Amino acid sequence: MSLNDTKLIQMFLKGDQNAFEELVHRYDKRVLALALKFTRDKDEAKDIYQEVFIRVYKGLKNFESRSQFSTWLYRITTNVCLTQQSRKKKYQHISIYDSQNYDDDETPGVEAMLKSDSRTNSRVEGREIKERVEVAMEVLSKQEKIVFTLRHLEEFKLKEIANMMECAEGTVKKYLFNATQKMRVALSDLY
Amino acid sequence: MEHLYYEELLILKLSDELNSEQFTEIENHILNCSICQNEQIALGKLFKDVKNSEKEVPMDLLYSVRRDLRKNLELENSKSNIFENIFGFAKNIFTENLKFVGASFAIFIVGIFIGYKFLNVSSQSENSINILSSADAVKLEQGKQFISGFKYITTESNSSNLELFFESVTPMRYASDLSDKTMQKLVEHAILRDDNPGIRLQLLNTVAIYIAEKKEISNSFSRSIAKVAMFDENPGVRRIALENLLHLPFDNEVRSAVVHILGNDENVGLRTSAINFLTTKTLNGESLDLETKTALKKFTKNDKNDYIKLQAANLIEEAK
Repeated sequence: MSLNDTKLIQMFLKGDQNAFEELVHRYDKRVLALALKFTRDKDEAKDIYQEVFIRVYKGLKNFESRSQFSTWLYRITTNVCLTQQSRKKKYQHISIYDSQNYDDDETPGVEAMLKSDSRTNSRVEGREIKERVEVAMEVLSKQEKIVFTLRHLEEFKLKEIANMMECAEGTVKKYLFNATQKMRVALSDLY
Repeated sequence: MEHLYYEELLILKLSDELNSEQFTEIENHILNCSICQNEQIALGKLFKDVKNSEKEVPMDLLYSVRRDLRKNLELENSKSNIFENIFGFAKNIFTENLKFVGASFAIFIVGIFIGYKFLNVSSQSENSINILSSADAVKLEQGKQFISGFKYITTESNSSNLELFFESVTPMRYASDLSDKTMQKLVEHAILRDDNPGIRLQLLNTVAIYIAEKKEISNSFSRSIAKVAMFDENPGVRRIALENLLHLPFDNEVRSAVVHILGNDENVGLRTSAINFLTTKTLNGESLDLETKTALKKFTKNDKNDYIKLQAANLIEEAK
């Protein structure tokens, strides 16, 4: 019979290392998946994974069970993702707007790499769409990317995301709107 | 500016974040706004493609980070123990002035030590390799000894006698039979944490010889073998671990491990071995619990391999 998270935490705090390992195995695949989506770099994702679970290991003695363990874990994961220094600048963060004002009637400037010239009017294969979506997400800021990923890939509610990022729900909504608009423009030839 | 409000409401609608009044408001607006109608379709496709762009986590990456985590946590444990012991000792016996004197003296000693290490040229030979002391062995059993970089030597073929060389601050060696608790702990450590699959394989082969002689191993060791069978990144290592489980008592740990392999291992050969394992045990009179039967029912539908599906169905039938 599987034990709940609270029971495993209690067992770990009494010295049972296996309990900690079981707790890790329940969630680590999702943490690694989030890190991979956020960084698109295996080495950075591995660093995030290690940092998250070492923090959990050290911090469990102070975990008060006021929130669910999974919420606390994701809060740590979000924090580590946002504060992670990139090892190398793989992608340039380019602004696809001349200004940040959505009401501006000027055509936003879009980098050539986000458009596929030869396929503008033709049907794009599923694999190419995936790649285009991944590349488009690189134009988002760290906060926008994490909100967009947590909402649309991990399917958390905005209130939960606000809790994880320790900010107001209104701020999270703003990141989501910004992210959606940027993705919309970056992939305007597809939709 | 007002239309921006509806654009934002539309994004929240497609993200399922609206209350009923807001939902009605945006629905009424969409009925009369062709821009928002088109935008709704476009955003719906975008969010669907974003969801579909999700990739599976590579299992070898997952196994690799888990192994690294075990090592890192062990390092954390050994670090905190050293500092706790030193700090606790100093706190108890030193006054403020003596603390200052003690700290200065410690820095002086560290300086001498660093100088010695840099200026002293020593050659590593087997004679300079330390033997694991009984004090270290106690720390090992308590999980407070940091160990890495196993090398492996066996003194006799078809025997469970081992001599291990490994790093623990300094190079160390330990020779004994697998009946020795300390040797079991060392081997357990190596099969769970060592980077070299060859080492893990060789050690599990030695464990197989030991278990085949019907000798007992600790519960912790048995659990570690089960973990290797379930989670090791190398399929060859997982196979040997699974074969080891065959010779252990068919308890809940072993049963859960076999069911886990059946449901999760990507390697069809291993899943086949797991179902054959369960079939053998059932034919030898072992009963299947409710959890196993429920899992087997799932496998009859979900497994990609017809042989496994058939065997799972047969097992359920025989268990009735």
